Amino acid sequence: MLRLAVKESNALRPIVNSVGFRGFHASAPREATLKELEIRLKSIRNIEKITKTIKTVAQTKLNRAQRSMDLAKKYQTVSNEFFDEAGTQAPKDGKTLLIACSSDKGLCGGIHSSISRLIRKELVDPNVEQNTSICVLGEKVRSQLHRYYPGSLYLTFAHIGGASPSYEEALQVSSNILENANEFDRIVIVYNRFASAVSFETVMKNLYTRQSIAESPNLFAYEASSEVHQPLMEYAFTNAIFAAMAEAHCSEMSSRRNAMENASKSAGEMINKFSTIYNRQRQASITNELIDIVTGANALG
Amino acid sequence: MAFAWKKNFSYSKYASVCSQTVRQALKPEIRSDLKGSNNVEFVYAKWKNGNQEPAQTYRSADAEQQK
Repeated sequence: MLRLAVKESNALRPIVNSVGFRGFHASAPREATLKELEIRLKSIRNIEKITKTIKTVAQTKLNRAQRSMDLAKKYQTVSNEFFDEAGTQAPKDGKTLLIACSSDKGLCGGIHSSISRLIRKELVDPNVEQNTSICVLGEKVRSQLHRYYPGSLYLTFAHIGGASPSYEEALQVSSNILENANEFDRIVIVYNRFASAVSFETVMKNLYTRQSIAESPNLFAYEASSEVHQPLMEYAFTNAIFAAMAEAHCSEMSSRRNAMENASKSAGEMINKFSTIYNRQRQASITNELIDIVTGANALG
Repeated sequence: MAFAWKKNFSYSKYASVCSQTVRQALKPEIRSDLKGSNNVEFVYAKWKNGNQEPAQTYRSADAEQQK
């Protein structure tokens, strides 16, 4: 009956297969000893503790990040005011610069992979791929995109996305990106929009270039010379990057929190399962010893 | 002489330089009230044909001081 219980728990298979090579087992796999079970139980308990800590940290950061995100979005509304009044249209095609906003850290669910999936979907058409350069904020997305489109990478940033972005950071990132941005007809930001505390949505946002500002239908309403267009575009670009980075950071915190909560829950279930098996095994070995003692006593007299 | 800086660098760089200068010009008592989020530090690298050129670090002037 114990053998049956052991076979039921597939989780114990790794203990048995830790020999290191895939052999052809002619005999049934051996049962896990009490010691091995204890070690495994202890390691799962540690994992549960770690994931719970990561979850609480992510929860605190999420609260702070949500406040920063609401403040950052106000910058965006400031620039959008002009674009709404002037009727500017963002360009839809031409030489494109894709900016992926993410971060360096993992253990956050599907944040990074959903961004690279959206970019890969966009670049499936080889004509589009020729015309596109990718700028990446964050190591995780960079390594994923490097596997698929190494030739399209243009500029990558690291050590970024660890905390909610400051405007200073957005200014520096945007000035680095804009050094060579005049050769692009169309600029797009890809980031994770914070939909709710349990979900995020990866979106692409078309930004306004200097050309599109100059071609705005209602531009005559503003008495400004044409030399304002370039700084205005750069200012709006910085605001857009700031808002996107803030929102991406917030989505990442909430996704990490959810992922770690699921991990703790699974670890808790595994602990229950293993505790039962451990206790059963312990009782069985005690019973065996008792049987030996009683048999021995009977044999003597 | 409006936009004298326009020939040499972008508006973002101009705004960044101005704000860092102002922050550094503050008296020490007031500067300690500032939040440290303005110490920006990151690493960036340009890519050419799938090869990464050597990475360069950017550290804002406030971060330099803090170190």
